[in-house]
Amino acid sequence: MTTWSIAAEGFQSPGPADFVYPPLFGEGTFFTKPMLITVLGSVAVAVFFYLAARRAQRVPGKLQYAGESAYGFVRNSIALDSIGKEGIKYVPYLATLFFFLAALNISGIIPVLQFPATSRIAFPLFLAVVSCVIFNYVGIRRAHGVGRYFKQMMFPAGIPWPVYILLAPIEFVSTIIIRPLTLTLRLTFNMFAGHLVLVLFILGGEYLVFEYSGVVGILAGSISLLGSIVLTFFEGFVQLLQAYVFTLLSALYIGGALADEH
Amino acid sequence: MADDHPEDTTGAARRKGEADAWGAFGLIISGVLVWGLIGGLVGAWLDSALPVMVGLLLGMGGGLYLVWFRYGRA
Amino acid sequence: MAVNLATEVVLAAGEGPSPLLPHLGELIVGIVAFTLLFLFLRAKVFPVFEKTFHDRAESIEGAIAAAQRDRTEAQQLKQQYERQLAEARDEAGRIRTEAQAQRAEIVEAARAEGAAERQRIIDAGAAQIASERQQALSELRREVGTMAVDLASRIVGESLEDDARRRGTVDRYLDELERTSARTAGSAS
Repeated sequence: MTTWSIAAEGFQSPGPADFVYPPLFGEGTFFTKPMLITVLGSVAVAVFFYLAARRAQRVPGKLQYAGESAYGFVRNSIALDSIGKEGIKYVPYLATLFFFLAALNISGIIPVLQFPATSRIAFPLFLAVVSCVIFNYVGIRRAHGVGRYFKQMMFPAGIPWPVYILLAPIEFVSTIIIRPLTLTLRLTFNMFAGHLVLVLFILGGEYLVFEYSGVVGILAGSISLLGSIVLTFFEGFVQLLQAYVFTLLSALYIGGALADEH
Repeated sequence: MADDHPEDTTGAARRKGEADAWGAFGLIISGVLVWGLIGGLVGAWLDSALPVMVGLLLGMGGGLYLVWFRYGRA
Repeated sequence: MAVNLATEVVLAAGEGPSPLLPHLGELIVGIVAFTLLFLFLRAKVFPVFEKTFHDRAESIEGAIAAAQRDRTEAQQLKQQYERQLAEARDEAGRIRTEAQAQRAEIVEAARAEGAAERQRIIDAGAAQIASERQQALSELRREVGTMAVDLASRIVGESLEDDARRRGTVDRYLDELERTSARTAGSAS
């Protein structure tokens, strides 16, 4: 990543260090910026939906309509489409997941905050683990027993038995480890990389304009700063998309566990 | 209840495709990971580089076979 | 293995702790925030939305059901009218056929009655004629007897009684003859 740095002395290229925040209230205290963003994002989601659902009517007002559409999108396009009729049970989790992730992702382009909390692996990780626990629990209940569930998963019918030695560990690792791991890493690195590029454009532009100076510096810096604005919109899109992908895959895993009948 | 979510079969099919793609990817990664690791451990024990190669190839083969078994058959 | 590789790459790129290591404080805050958000939304928000969805669907379904009901009702009414109309038509046809049959019957009856009456009159006439004839016959027979007796007695009585009268008769007859011839002559001249 140091290779990205503009060939200029004194410019510190952004790196993983930019993702480490000291405690907000001084050394030794607990609270950091990603935590603050998490709390603010959760509160924002809660307040938005509280206001939307307050005094709900059959003919909705603007806010209620917005809340219902957002909820209905997760409910119909993610949960019910991926899981089927039984998906209605998992709508509360999936909807919370989507809006929590969307809020934490989008904090990356909100002025002042300007940091996607989900680029810190802790948040995607525990959500991926929760999704993993849910779809495995669903699968176990569906198969009527832990043993039967893993037997169905690891020993699909129609394969000669010696091959099971080769395949069973692959199936196990793919379902229990790779699925939550890919969920986690996909989201984390998308947010991480997006934020890094954004910071690079902004800091680089700033440096070029104010430190490097001169016609070339101001021109190149301006282009860089303008580019960062375009990138911000692009990032907003990516952030919503990643929240969608995370939620959708969780729903598909649940749907798969419900439908599995090997 | 069925009225407010009309069946979007094309959307559902596309999502199934997405999930299958990620599933296939996960199977191959797992294959390489599991058998590469086992090969690596055996290699460290035997002080040889061969088991790692065998493990990686076996894992990839197994993963590909599972992809075919799960998603490739008509 | 891939994960380790990625870690090393990232670690090599910069200083600070690996972005792949979850920060314990963030983990706790994240779990608590997510759980609270989930519980709040599940308790206060999603049921409200579900209820409005349900109500809305129900009101639409209700309207559809009402429309359906109206339509069935109208159809039933229409069928009823059609049935009634058909019934009325049938009834009219039946009455017409009946009337025709009745008319034929009446005409037939009248004709039969007329024929019977005529026969009766004829019979009665014939009977009367026969009885009158019988009566006339018997009367004639009786009268002829009386007349014969009368005549015979008169003939006999006259010849026996009185010469004078016979003479008178003859005279009268002769006079009469004279007068008749005179009148004939007179009318001839």
